[in-house]
Amino acid sequence: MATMAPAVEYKGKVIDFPFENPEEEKIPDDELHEHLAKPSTERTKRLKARCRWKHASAGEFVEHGVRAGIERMRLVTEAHKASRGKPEVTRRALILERCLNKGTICLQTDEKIIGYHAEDPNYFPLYPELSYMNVKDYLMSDYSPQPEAEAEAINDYWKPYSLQAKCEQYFDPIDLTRMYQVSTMEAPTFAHGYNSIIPPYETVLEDGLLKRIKMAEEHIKEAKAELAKEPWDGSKQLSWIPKIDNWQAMVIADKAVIAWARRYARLCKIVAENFESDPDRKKELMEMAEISNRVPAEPCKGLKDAFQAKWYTFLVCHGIERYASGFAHKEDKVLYPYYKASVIDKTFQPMTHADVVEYVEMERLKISEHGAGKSRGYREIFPGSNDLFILTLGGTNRDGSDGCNDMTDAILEGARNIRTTEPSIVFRYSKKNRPQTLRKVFNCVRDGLGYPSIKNDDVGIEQMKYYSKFSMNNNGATDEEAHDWCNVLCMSPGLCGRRKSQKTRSEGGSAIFPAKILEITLNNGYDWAYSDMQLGPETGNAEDFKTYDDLLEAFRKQYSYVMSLVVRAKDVGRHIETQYLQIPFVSSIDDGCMELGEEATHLSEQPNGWHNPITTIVAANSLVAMKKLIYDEKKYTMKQLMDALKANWEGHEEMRKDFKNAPKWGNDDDYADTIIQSFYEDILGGEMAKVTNYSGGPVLPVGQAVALYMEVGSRTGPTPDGRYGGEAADDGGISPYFGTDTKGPTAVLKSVSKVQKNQKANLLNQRLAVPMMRSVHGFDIWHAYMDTWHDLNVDHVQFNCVSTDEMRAAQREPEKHRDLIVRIAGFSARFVDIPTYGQNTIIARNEQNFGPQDFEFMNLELGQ
Amino acid sequence: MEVVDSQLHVEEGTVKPCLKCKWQIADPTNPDQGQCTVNRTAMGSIWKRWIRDVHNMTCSKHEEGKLSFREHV
Amino acid sequence: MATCGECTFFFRVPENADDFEPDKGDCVTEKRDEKGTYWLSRPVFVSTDSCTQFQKK
Repeated sequence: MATMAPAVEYKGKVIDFPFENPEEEKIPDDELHEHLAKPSTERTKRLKARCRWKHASAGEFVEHGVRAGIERMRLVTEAHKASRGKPEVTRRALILERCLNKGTICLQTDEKIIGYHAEDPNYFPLYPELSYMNVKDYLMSDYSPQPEAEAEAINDYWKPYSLQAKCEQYFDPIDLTRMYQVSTMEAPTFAHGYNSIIPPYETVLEDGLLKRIKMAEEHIKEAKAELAKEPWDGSKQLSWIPKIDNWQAMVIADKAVIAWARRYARLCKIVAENFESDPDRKKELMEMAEISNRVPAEPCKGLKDAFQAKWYTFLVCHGIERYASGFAHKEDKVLYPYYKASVIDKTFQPMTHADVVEYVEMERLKISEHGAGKSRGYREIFPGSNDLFILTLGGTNRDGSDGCNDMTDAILEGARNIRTTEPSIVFRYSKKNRPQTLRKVFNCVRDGLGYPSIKNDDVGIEQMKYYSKFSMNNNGATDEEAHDWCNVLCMSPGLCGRRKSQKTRSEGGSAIFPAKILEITLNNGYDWAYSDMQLGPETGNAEDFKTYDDLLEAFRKQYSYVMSLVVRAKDVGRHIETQYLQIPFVSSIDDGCMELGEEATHLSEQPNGWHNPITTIVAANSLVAMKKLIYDEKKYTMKQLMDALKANWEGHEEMRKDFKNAPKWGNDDDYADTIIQSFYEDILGGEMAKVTNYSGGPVLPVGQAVALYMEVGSRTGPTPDGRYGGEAADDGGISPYFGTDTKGPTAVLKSVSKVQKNQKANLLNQRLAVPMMRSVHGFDIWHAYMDTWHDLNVDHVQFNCVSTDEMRAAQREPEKHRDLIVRIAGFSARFVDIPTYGQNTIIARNEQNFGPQDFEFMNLELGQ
Repeated sequence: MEVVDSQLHVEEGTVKPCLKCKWQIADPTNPDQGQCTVNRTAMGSIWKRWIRDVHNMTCSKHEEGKLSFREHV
Repeated sequence: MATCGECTFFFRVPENADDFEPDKGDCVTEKRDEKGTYWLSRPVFVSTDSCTQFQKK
C-alpha cells in the first residue's frame, strides 16, 4: 500500500490528502516509478526497449558495446591534409563536406526521424582538432577507437594543430597544471573540447538551405564588385576578402548538408525496395525518403519536415562540424507553425495531436542514444547522462502574451509518457502561462522526472535586455527579442532565434569552486587535501587573519586570481577558434553572419558572459560558522579549527558539532543570510562582474552544480561548516546543504530571495514529498508555491519527487528500477546509472513537506 | 625526504603503477595523471588525492584491478 | 579479387544526385545486434576491393 500524506489542520479545518488517482493506493512506495512510463504507441515502446543509451558515470559508459568510432577522425585528417594552402575557413568547410560525403550513414528499424553522426549507432565520434589529451584518454580506455594504432597516429598528427596546443603556449605551465586538475576551477575548453551552442534552427526550417546558399552567393557577387571598385582603397576594400572566404565556406557547407540529407533519402528508398518486407514500413520509408530529399534544402511545410530538418541541423551543429553539448532551443516556438499546418490547418502532412506526441517521444529517444565524445572530466560530472541536452518551453512571446501553445503541451505529454532522462526541459514560468499547460508541467514534476526545471520568465527577459547594453555592434536584443530566450545548457539563459544566439562556450560556462578556494585561502593558497601543491597566490595562513574581513579579503584575492585566469583561458580559446575552428555551417544559418559575412565563432552581437560558482554553500556556511564561533563569540581560535580540519575532525567531535550546528543557509536565519547574501552579491558576483569577456560584457555568476558538487567535494578536505573531507558539497547553486534546511520550503524561498544583485542565475534544488504531491491537493499546492516563488523574484527551482524507500530499493536491486529517475543538478538521470556516492547525495536531500505555515505564506486556500 | 610506503610516492619504473591500481581513476583532463580513491569512509564518502604521474607512482595499498562506475564518484 | 561493383549490396548513385561521381555507389548492408536491426550506407566505387560481406549479385 502506498503511503498517504497525513492530514493537516489549517485555518480551522482538517485537510486530508487522498490520492488524486485512487488506484495508486495499491502501488507500494518503493516501486512507484516503475508504473509511470506509458509510451503512447507500440512503436515508441519498442524504440525505448531497444534504445542504445550512452549514459556515462564516473567516466565509464554504463552499457556494453559503446565505443569511440574512428571514422570522423580519419575523414577530418584526410580533409585537413588535402586542403593545405586554402583559407582556414575553407578548410573547415571542406572538412565538414568530407565527413558528410564520405561518412557512413545509418537507418534503424522503426525510426521516423533519421540521422546519426558516427559509423555505427553504438559509436560516437572524436574530435582530434580540439584536445589531444581527450583523445589520448580514450586511447587509454576500454572505449578506444579501432584500429588503435591509426587513431594514435591521427592524434599525433593533430597535436600541434589542436585547439589545446595552440592555446597552451599562452599560459604559464603552473597555471595550466592548476586549471587541469579541476579543484579550484574547471579546466578550460581548450583542454577538453567541451562546448555549447544555440543553433539558429529557425532559419533552416523557415528558409531552407537552398535559399541560404543563394543569399551567400549574392553576397559574394556584391563583394567581388566592391573589391573591384575604382579608385582602389586598400584601407576599406581589403575587408571584403575574409567576408568572401566566409560566404564561400557557407556555400560549401550548406551544399554538403543538403547532399548528406539526400544520401539518407536514398538509403530509405534502398532499404524499402531491397530489404524491407512489411508494406506499411515500406510506405513510411518512402515518405521519409521524400522528406529528406526536400529538407533541409527547402523550407519545411509540415511537422514531419520540421522534426527531420531540426534533427539534421542538430547533428551537424552538435556532432559533426564540431562537438557541442546541449539541445538549446525554444522548441514549442520553433515547431508551432508546423504543428498548426499539420494538426490544425491540415495543409501538409496532416496528423493528430496524438501523432505529434509520438514524434516527441521518438525525438526524445533519438537524443537518448546520441553519443558524445566528451572528455573524461565531463563523463564524470554528468553521471547517468550521455550529455547535457536541455530544451526550453513556455514563457512569453515577443508581444508579452503567453508563449504556451499546443506544441508545448505535446512536448510535455510526450516527455511524461516515454520517461527518458534526456532531453531535460526548462519551463519559463510566467503568470501569463495557461493553466492547462501548467498542469502538464506539474504532471511531469510529480512523476519525478526532475524536469521541467522552472526558470522565472521575467528575470530572463530583463537579463537579455541588460546584456544587450554591452553589444559591441549596438545590435543586441531589442525589448521584443528579449522574450526569445532559452537556456543554453542547464541554467543560463541566452537569446535564441535567427540571429544573436550564442555559438561557442567561450561566451559562458565552466566553473569555479568556492569551497576549495576557501580551503586554500585558509592555507596560504596551498592545497594540502588533494593535489599537494600551491594552487593560488600566497595570501596568508588562517591564523594570520585577525578579523573576519581579513579572511574575506584573502578569499577575494584567491577568487579574483582564478576568475581572471579562467576567463582569459576562455577568451584565448575563442581567439584561436576564430582562426582555426570556424563553423561555416553555423555561420550560414545565422542571419547576422550571413548579412555581415562574419564567422559564427567571431561575431558576438549579444554578450552573454557567465561562469559557474559551484560549492558556494559549503564555503558560505563555513564563513558563517567561522564568523560566529571564532570572530564573534571567540569560542574557538583559528588554530584550533585548523588543527581539527587537518585531523578531519577526529578527536574534535564536540567542536565539529558546534560548527555543524552553526546557522545554515535556507532557514530564513538573518545571521546566516546576511553573511551569505553579501558573499554572493559582493564577492562571487561583484568580483566576477569586474571581468569583461570577449564580447565586451560583464561575466556574471550562474550558480549550478552539475555533479561537480560530488567531484569537487571528493577533492576537498574537511570544511568549517562541519563537513568531513571527501563528502559531497552542496548540490545546487543556491540550494541549502543536504538536510540543513529544516524550516520548511517557504523558509528556503525566503532565504534564496535575498540574493538578487550581480547574479545571472542560481540553481535551487528542492525535494518534494511524494504523497502530498500525488494527492488531490498536489497541483494547487505546487501552483501556489510557484506563484510565491515568482513573486519573490527567485530565478529558478527544480524538484525531486521520489521517495527514500524507492531509492533504497533501487540500491538493493538496481535491475528492477530502470525507470527510477532523479534530478541531480541541471540534468536528470536514471538512479541506477549513477555511483552510490551520488545516489546517497540524492537520498540525503531534505524531503520538504508543506505545513500550515507554508500554506499561510503562500496564501493558499485548500478545500476538503 | 623519507618515503612512507603507505603514501603515494614516486618510484620510477615501478611494476605496481597507480595506472593499474583499482583505486585509481584517471585525472579529469590529463590521462597521464590520476586520482586515488583509496580513502573511503564508512559513510561512503571518498576523499580523493591527486596522482601526478600514474606511470611512476605507487604505494603499499596498490591492488590491481578496476572498480565499477558505481564504486567511484 | 572481387569488387564492389559485383556485389548485391552495391547501389549505383543516380546521375542527378548531389554527390554523384562516375561509378560511385552506396554500399548498403544490414546489421543485427541485441538491440535490433539497422542498415549502414557508405560510399564505394565499382572498382573498390570487396569486403568480407561481399555477396555476388
